[in-house]
Amino acid sequence: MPKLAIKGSGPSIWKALILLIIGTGSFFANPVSSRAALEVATLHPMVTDLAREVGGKHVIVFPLMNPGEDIHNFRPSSTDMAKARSADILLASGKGLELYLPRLRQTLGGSTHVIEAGNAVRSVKLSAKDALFACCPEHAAGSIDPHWWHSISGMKRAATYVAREFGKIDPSNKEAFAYNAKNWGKQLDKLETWAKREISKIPRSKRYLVTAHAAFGYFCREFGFRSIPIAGPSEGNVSSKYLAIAIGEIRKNSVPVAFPEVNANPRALDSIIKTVGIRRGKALIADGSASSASTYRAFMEHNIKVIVSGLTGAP
Amino acid sequence: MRGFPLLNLLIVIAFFALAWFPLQHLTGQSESSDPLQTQQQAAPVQAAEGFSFRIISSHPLKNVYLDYLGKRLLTVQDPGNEAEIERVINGITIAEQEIEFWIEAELKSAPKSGERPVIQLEMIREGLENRPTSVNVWGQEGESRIETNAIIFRPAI
Ligand SMILES: [Zn+2]
Repeated sequence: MPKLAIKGSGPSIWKALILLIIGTGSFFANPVSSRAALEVATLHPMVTDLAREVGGKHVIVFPLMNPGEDIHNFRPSSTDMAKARSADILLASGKGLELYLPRLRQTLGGSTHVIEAGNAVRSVKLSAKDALFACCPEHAAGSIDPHWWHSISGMKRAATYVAREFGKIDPSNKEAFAYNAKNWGKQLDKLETWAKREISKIPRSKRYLVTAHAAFGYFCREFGFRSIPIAGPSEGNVSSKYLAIAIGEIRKNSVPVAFPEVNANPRALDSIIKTVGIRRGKALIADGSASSASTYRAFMEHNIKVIVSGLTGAP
Repeated sequence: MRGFPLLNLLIVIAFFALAWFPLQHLTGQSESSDPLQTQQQAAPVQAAEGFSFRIISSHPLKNVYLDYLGKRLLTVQDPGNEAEIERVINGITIAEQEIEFWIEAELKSAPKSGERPVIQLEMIREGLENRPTSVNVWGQEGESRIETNAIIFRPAI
């Protein structure tokens, strides 16, 4: 009987072996299909939230940068590099924020897919020619403002883009990612409606944003403000000539308040406040990185409340 | 020193004159920068006191609200079959050329799918009824609620 049984089950064993070989082969060729969830390493607190919202239960997110860290001076450690290499996806903010990204991409080889969420958002160029008085013309003209998360509609577009890219890497959950992005998009629409309503309390002629560095180009484009930053996009040295222009703009437009920033050096802004004699507002989260606001919603709500109360004089 | 009282006096006068001139010069400078700022605040803006709003909707309205700088300017509930809603607002000064209103409206029933409702908001200044300034605000396809900002650019008069 056993002999007969072996004989009878012969082809099935071969089939099973072949299937096992094919299965093992695909295990090594495509690690994603063997995992329950995509592993996503993230390089900015706001894209961490984006990855969680879009990925839902189908992703495990590993933030390489924690809320509160300095996004302009962050450099991934060797542990971060190892995490990025073992992840399926490295989700960056993009638009040139991560200056180390080209080198990091080289060290990853082809095993980790790199997605730059900011690619989905129309860029704001730092230029004196723009309607926005965006930045120090000497230091930043022609470069792209990397702080795209200040645009709620931009974040919505980024969510759709990231969902599509996640779906390419994990096609089995393509619909789920698209659904999550759409669902989060509806919440972002509500957030945008609330934000616009709050901002409508500020007369359009008074919408000037004096901030520590040039981080609010997207915010200004979205909500009809003009930006007067005291330093360039990454707080480099500012010329006295530029400071004189900024002071002139503040005086000419009777701007009542200047906003310091969480994590930014207040020295230059404080000297402007003292020189011009304007109010010091509450601190804004310019770089999307603050331990007090780890979600996109909390980040936007904080900034809108601070700006509206600062410019309307409301408590 | 004792032998030259006149020279001493001259030195003292010269000293006061030298000290007085830059002080006066500085004060003059700060005075001349002040009018600039006043000019900026008072500049080309026309105050509009006594004006009316005309609201025309693509679909029958259940209600409509209009806010200006966070304050309610207009409330219209159940306007019935009014095709055009016109209301006069008095006692409010709108001293801007680029004016942003917040509009909230609800339609009597949701528009058919594929239809986007639109509301036209016209701002008419008393005495200048032939020169209304207006803006169109659009709702979402098939949705009966419209909540958005409406920006009117008023030409200088
Ligand atoms: Zn920044």
